[in-house]
Amino acid sequence: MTTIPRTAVLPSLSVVICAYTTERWEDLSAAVASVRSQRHPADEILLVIDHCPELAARARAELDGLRVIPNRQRQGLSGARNTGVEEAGCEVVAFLDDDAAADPDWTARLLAGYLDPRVLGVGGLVRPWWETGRPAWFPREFDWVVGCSYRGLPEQSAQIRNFIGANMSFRRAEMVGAGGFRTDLGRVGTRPLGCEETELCLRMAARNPGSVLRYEPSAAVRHHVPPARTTWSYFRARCYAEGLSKAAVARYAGSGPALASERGYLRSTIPSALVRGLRPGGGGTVPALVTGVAATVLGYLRGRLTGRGSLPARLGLPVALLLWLLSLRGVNLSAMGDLGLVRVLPVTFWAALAVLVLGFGACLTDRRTPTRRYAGYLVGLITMLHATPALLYPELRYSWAWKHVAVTDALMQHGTLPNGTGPLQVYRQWPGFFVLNELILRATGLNSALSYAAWAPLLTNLALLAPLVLLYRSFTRSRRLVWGGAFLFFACSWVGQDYYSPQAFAFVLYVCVVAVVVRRLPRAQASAGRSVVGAGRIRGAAGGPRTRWVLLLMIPVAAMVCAHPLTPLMLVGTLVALAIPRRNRRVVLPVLLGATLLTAGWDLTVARPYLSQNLHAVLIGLTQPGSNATSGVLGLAGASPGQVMVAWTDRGLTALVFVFAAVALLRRRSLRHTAVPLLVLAPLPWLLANSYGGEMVFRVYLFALPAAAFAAVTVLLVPRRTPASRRAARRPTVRARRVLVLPAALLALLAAFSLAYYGKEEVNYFTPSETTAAQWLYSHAPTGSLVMGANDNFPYAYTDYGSYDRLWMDQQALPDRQLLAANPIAGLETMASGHGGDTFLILTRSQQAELTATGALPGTNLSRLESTLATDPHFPVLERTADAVVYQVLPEGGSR
Amino acid sequence: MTAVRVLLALVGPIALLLPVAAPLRILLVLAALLTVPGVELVRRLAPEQGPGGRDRSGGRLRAVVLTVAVSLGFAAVTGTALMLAGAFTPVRVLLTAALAAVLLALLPGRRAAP
Repeated sequence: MTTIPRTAVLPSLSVVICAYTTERWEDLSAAVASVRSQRHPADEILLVIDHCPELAARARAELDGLRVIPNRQRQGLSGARNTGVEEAGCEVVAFLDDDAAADPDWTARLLAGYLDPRVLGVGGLVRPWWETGRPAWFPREFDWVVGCSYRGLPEQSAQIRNFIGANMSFRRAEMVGAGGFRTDLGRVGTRPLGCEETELCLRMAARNPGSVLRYEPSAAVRHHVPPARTTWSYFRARCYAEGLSKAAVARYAGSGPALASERGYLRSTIPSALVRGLRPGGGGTVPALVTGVAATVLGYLRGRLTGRGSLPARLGLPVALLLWLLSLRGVNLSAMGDLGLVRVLPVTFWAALAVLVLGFGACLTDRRTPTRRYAGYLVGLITMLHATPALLYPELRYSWAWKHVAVTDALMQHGTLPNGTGPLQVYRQWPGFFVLNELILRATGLNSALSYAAWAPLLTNLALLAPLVLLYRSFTRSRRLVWGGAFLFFACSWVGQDYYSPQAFAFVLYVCVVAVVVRRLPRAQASAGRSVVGAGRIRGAAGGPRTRWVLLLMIPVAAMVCAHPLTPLMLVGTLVALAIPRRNRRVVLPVLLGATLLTAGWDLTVARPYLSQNLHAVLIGLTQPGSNATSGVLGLAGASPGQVMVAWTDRGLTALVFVFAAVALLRRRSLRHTAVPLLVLAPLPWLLANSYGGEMVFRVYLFALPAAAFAAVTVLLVPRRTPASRRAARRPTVRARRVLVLPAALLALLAAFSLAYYGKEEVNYFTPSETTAAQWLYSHAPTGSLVMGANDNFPYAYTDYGSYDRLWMDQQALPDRQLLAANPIAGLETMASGHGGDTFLILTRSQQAELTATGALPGTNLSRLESTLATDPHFPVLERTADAVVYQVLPEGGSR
Repeated sequence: MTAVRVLLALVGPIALLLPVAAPLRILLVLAALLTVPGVELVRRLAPEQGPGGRDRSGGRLRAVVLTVAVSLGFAAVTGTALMLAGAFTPVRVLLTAALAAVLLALLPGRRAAP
């Protein structure tokens, strides 16, 4: 027993009692009374009510001398104890169960232990108080079944591995430092799981080598054991649950430390008990000893086998990845039709996606799924969706990616960006992305961005994962919602602005900046202390009104400003929206001011030539909100049937995400108090302001998607939290429906995504023979030549763009295009007539694919055009490959 | 510890001494672009890194996100400024980032909470 020196100053003490039901009111009153009548009074008594308003009201009305606090964390004993620790103001926090009563010198005995500075915690003896007497068969070695000290524990003051939850205390600072009790362990209501205190004790000891957890049997409490806990069925169930709990602790702490005491218990305590039980007059405890050990071991084994998640959750990812890798063999890309990759990907690819979704669905049904498994599934999903084209295609996909490679090459070649025309004009004013790539190329010694541009979609999407998760963690603590939201984002992100482009780079920075800003927003008053969407508190601002972090944020904002025209405007819009609630302004306004100044500064200096040239178009755009909103959405008239289907699929997917988000925001008040609605709505006004070349509607979707996907997932994942819905959720049919509905919904979304994203690949895919023909063209065409094509959808379309003129037939005036359809030779000659130097014409399979898909140049077919040109000596063929042909266009009357 | 920080800050310029397009050079350059000077800037300026304001649950992820965004942003902004001034070379960009990081590592003052 620890003796207290007369001169010793004991640390201050908060006693925390957690209660969850009014049924144990008598016990609770006795517990409180026992603490209030201590010889050494506690400095404060906190009663934490675990999600039972009725009990809270009664306690406030009838119990004196304590503070009644609702559990603000996840329901259950661990969450309630953590709430108590948060609220406690003293150096030591002691926990007493609501059905236990402390001996009068309990607090003094506990606190005496803390005179040794190495001591992190002191726990005491828990004596069972059997309401109906101890059953004869109930062995003392198993008193832990009823939450009491058992035979086998030290009988004198000693260092111990862990305490019994009914009677323990810790230094508050150490508990806070260790992170408190795990809320995924421990008892919720009457569910007999436990061991959260064991896990905490192990964690605290691991953090503080040389520290001591002291067992002080003289600091005793008595623990009420009601008749319901003296039955065989409770005994079996509790032993089994203890095994399960031990398995969970072993997962977190490793089986070595987690089971050290249990090994000793099984090696010495239990054999001695069996020997005693087998002696004459042993009391008939042997059946209980055997049953107890067997049930605990069974529970432990089951916990170890299934505790890492269900079989589908564990195997889903590796099986899916294996199937995916197998599916990549022997894909016949030349058979790609109007539906692109969707037509040619084998059944194993779709099976891989289905297995991935089922595995992820299984993860979502288990709240213990570790973060690393969720992350693994997301990385797997992103890899399967975005590495597939990179692995399958022999050449870089998508003509815009080729264009951006050409811009990077031009920068490498000239040290500055040449004055381009048409779509190339803009890059000179916003060169940040290309300069960064020039830096990468020059610093690494690589020759061209072509060596890595094919992997940009994979890298962009992977880079979005961390800021997305950070953003979602500001809305909820539920890992299911965070990772489910991220899954939904990638399953709905069909816009394809993830290729080698300034937009992709700027969008990643945008999500990073928004995630950091939102994380600093103060918590909404209306939802303070309440869960966001059923799972945990919203995180509020972590610090005071510091401005250093604003300076830090200005670096990525400045990069965005010099890399892309639209993204900084979107950011400014988003920050304006976030500043609407008054409580957010202290955090948001400095960032908004900085972002606005940087954007305006850039646009009025470096980007001024472009903006002043295009000011008229910008102003016109402002006056035509209707046509801005619909441009890019209408105009399927000439498109192929497959592409019409693809277009309707992506529209449907877009609409679905917004409908789900709207439903979530309408139904969930707590969600409305987060930044989610502001982030969803902020990009929408841009729809009316400018058409952005018919792209605005897609960009608005892109920028709204992070928040919209999170809102949408709350519809799929969280049932409404009414008592009726909770009761209904326990029914097997409802459970089965919940388990099946989510994977089915995710599968449907992924199917729609595949059609929307892969459905255009006939156009985006290029063959080596097209690349060869284009390379031949540029190696033979003299500088200053005119390069003609049906459109710019072919590799190297903009190579060395400062040195060549370009002419794309689909962008010519309507009379010229009509003439081309009626008389191809005359049409081509008219189009080329203004150019003085050499003129070359390249026609490729991919140009035809784009004409077919979009319906541009109606009446013109490249095969027919080739047949016509073959008959005319003014169009000699210079180079022909399987998928492309290069002509020289000779002036009328001229010869080669 | 400061010596290690200084060494890590100088990884970019040091990598330029390796043979052109060598895998190690590519790896080190990319590592430098993703972390320098973000690590030091975030360590100094991010509010959650200070004593008392440490944000346990989200601090690490936020620090990683900020580090990468700040480092890439720094490279893009410095590179663009140098290009507009007609003075762009990879050595200058990487040295600017490295010098900023070294200064921050050597400056006395606030350190991250343990």
